[in-house]
Amino acid sequence: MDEVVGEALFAELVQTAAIDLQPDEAEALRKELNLKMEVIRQLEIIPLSDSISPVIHGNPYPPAIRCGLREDKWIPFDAPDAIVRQAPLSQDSFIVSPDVPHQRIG
Amino acid sequence: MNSDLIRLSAFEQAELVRSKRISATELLDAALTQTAESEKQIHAFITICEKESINKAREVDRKIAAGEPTGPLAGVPYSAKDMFCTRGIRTTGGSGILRGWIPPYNAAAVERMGSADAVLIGKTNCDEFGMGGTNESTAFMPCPRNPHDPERVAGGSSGGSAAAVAAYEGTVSLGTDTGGSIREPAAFCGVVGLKPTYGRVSRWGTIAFASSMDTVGPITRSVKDAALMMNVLAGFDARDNVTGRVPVPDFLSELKKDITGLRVGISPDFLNLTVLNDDGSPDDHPIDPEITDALMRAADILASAGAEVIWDVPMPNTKYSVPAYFVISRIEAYSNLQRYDGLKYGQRAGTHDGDMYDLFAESREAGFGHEVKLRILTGLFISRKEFYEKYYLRAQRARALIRSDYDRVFDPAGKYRLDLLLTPSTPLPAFRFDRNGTDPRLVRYADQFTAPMNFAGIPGISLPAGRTADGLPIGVQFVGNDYSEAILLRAAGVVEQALASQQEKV
Repeated sequence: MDEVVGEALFAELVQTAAIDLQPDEAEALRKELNLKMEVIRQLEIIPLSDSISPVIHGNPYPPAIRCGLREDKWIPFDAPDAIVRQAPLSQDSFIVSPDVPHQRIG
Repeated sequence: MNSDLIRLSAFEQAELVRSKRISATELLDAALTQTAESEKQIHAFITICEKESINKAREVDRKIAAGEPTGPLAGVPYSAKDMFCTRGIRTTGGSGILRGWIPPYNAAAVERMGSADAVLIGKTNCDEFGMGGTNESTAFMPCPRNPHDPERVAGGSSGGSAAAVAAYEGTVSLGTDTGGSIREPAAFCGVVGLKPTYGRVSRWGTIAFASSMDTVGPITRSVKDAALMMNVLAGFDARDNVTGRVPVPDFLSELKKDITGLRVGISPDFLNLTVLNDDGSPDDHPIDPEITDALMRAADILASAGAEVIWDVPMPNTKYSVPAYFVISRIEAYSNLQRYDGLKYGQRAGTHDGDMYDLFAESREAGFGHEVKLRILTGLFISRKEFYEKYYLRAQRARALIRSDYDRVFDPAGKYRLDLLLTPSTPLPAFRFDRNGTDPRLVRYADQFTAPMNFAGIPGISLPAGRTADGLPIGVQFVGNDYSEAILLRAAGVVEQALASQQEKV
């Protein structure tokens, strides 16, 4: 089977996924991704009539049982410091982050 | 005495604790001793939380001594797959990117187990973020071994939970199931695993894999304990907006009803593993004949107990579940895994002298394992604009098609009017780590009998139904309509009891 994902396209995917892959691993993953496409391409042969609409859940979720929207209400957490403590780097109750890169697109 | 205690069911253990015949502390001590011994070989756990478990057991004992009411799982030692957030206790999802992460809150299922006075003894190993069927993708090696043969996989992704329960390392466990991750390891390890209806049990605080299919459920050594856990776990939770406002029956009481008149279907589409050729023609692979035999024995038991077995029920779209599952699970996984960036929580890698993108990319490279990276990249690729209709939308339509099979056979006014389907849980028993002697296609498509239920959103239970000539457990599965867990448990209980009686006679 022809490769669906070539090296240039794969590099673009890796950039978008934000994973700093080493060259060996990148090539191995690219090959595996192309193999996986064989299974995914099987979708094309499923007979789907126009009457079949896409669904986002298998089971129906009628209004009678639906949760509904939550009230837009602020609920304080009992240990806010514990949330900040999860961050690998924090200072004075703030999460420390590097500069945000800016790139002109389009 | 200790080894006797840990072999009791959760139901029996809680009764003994509540009646003061044993203390929760004594029961915990027995469980921790067994766990320490078994772990030398089984490696079911990532974290044992001894201090927290002792505190909880003492709290249960104090309540009992003070005459205060206790929950239905009083003192029962349990484990939770490391996909459940546990306040103050490391939670990793089996991933290096969460190595050392300590959540500030408990998952809803953990809250409910705590309110029922169960005692959490530790967090079990799993495939990284639940992505796998063997537990080999965990970042925490060695991965769990099958207690029936340590040269074989425990299954996955809730393999640590199933192995722990089978090895008496705690009495019950919490698992998650997105494509079979409770039922497949339960079948491989010879225990009971229930995947409830989508929306029956809250997933709040559970690490997300594929949100349109993720479910939470019990792994136990008996059907009665699964019913007991469902009494604790099931119910509406506004924090998980797919939970339904649906009445929750008393699952234990439901077990007492008989199965006379239940209509149980068996489908030829679950007795072969079907792989699609490039031209769309099906390529059937027979499943392990010992599994078919076990299924037939279960059918005989049901018929003897008054159920009506309906043969040759067509489920023609089952064969499409693997490619459709492949697409939806990877796209949703890609979306869910974007939150791991090394900034807000989890592992941060790199020199920290670059910009935010460098931080993300270096942390994700160091923190994610190979399988997870592959799924992220696959999900990203097939969710591109040009493939949206070709793959994602098509998979969502295939989901409707697969669901239509179940709507048709469970329709009370339809031709089949089934209450249940009886299927194999897996096409093969637990295989060796080196895959020697195993048909690779059976391994690759091992979730063909479990993933359709996650698509359809319906419940399924795997229960032990015998052993192979090599002594490996065999699982069979009952599948029912939405919110029919009580019927599943009832039928499973009948088969379990009959097999136990037959075993005693032998």
